[in-house]
Order: sequence, then structure tokens, then C-alpha cells
Amino acid sequence: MLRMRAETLKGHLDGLLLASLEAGPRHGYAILEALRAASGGQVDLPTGTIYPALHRLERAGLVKGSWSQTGGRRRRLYRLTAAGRRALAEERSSWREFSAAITTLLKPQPLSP
Amino acid sequence: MTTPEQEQDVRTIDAYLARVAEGLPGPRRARAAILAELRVGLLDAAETHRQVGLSPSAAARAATGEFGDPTQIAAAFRAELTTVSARRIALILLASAPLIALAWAGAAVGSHLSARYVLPWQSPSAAPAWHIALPVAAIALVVGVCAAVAAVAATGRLTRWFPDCARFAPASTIAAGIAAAALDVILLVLLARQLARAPTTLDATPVTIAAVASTARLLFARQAMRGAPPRLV
Repeated sequence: MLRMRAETLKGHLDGLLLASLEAGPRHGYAILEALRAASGGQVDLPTGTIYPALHRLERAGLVKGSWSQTGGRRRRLYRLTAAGRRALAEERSSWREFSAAITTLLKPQPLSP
Repeated sequence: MTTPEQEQDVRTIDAYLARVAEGLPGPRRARAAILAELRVGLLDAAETHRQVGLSPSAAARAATGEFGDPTQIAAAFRAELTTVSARRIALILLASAPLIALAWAGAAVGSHLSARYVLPWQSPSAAPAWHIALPVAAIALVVGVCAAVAAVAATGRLTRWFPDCARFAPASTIAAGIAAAALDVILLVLLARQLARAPTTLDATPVTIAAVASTARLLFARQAMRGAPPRLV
């Protein structure tokens, strides 16, 4: 099975991270587990790269991070902001348009006479 | 509580983090927070590997192995820290603009009222210096405010639409810092000139406040460009 490597994911990582926070706040490792579970293990990227990406999303105001004690360790929990929810919705609709266009383009065409 | 094997596990993770830390300058608190966050992530990952049957040391190696190249993680955070720093400095410079303007307006008005003297730029004897200084100061003000606004805008919400924008933020902040410094130097030089020529025309209190405010910002701009890690230049 084709695995989604880091370079393929580039440009979509932000959207994937936002999507993984839609159901509720998560910490870094839980986000990774969610990405892995949702993609059936296809998402394959150096796991450390999600942390600077989360910090970038926080600076852009799309997620909000806060320290809290969970599971016996102090973890940084990230939650979606209102702007993050809007960004996720936009990311979704633009991906739908893009994938629909590519699907149409790649459809086998009947030979022209 | 921890077994010797688990200590080994933690040592592997801490050795990895030390390599990330090497490439991470920056304010000590921001750096410590990043390393603490990464450490928990690595410990969680190692725990998951142990649960599926790996030995603690193999689990720690697996966790650090899949985490990626420590120098690349450090580089990504370094870029982010520089951007955050550029944004913070640009915001401080923007906030300082009305305060410094108010202080100097207070100095000018105060001196005018208390000395019953015409405003500095209306004095015929002072004309040439003011005629050069004021347009230069006006240009510095416009350039500085525009550059600082651009830096703040590029590092906020705009990041999502134009991810490359943030790369220009440090340069934009440096431009704003230079403009602010130029403005302060001009104001202080004009003050020194007035002090040398006609000290009685100056009202000590508001003039001192304005001079101190400008000097403080000058020192801040200098420190932001040179000293404060992560450095912008």
C-alpha cells in the first residue's frame, strides 16, 4: 500500500493537525496517534515535525496550547480556536474541490474516433 | 520507582533532546518549554513501544528514531522562535510610537507654555536644522510604522494564506527598529542642539521624560538587533 510520506504530506499537514483537534483538545503524542489511527497507519512522517508545526499554528491563532496535568505527566494540550475551525472548514472544501477535479481529470477517457 | 532499565530509556531520550537543544538558541524559558514538550512526546512514544513488547532501551531508541533528525527539529523551532521574536519586537515598537510621540508633544507644548516661547520649528534662528530634521523624521516614522505593521501582519493570521510571508518578518522588524532608532536619534540631537543654544526655552520635566523615553527605546532597538536571543541578524 502506498504510504503518505513527508513530502507528499507537506502542505496538508496543517489541515491534518487541525482535523485531529476537531473532536476535542489533544496533546502532541495523542495527535500523532489520531493521525495514525485515522489513516490506517499510512501517515508516515518524522513524528517530531508536528511540534514546530503546532507552534506555528498557535502563532497563527488557529490553535491554542496550554499546559495541563494529564495521565501523570505535564503535557501541552492543544485546542482549536474559532479561527482554527473556520480554517479547517476552508481546508476541507478546497480539498474536496481539488480532489474532485483530479478525479475527473484522471478518469479513463473513451478513445476519440 | 524507576528500574535501571527505565533510567537507560530516559537517558537515551535526554541524549536526543540534548542534540535538539544544541541547535536551539532563544530565550531560556521558551527553549525549556519546547524541550519539556518534546520530552513528554518521546516518553509517551517509548511507553507505547514498551506496551507492544519492546525492551525499555529498544523502545527509547524506536521513539527517538521515528522522531526525526534532531538538527532538523531544532531548525524548524529556531525559525519559529525567530518569527515569534520578530513579532514581539515589532509589536513593542508599534506600541512605543504613540507613547514616544505623546512624550515629545508634551515636551514641546510644555516648553512653549512655560517659557512663553514660540514652538521650536517656528523660531527663525532654528529653521535650517528643523527643516532638514522634520522631513527625515516624518519619513522614518512612516517607514517604521509600515515595516512594523507588515511584520505583525505577516506573522499572525496571514501566515495561513501566505506561509512564506513570515520569512520576511525579521527583515521587516529590523527595518522598523532602524527607523525607530533614527527617529530617536533625530529627536535627541534636536534636543541637545536646543539645550546648547537656548536652555531656558525648555521645560525640564516633560523634556526629561521625553529624552528618557527615546533613550530607552533606542537601547531596546539596539538590544533587539544585537543581543536578545534569538537574534534577528
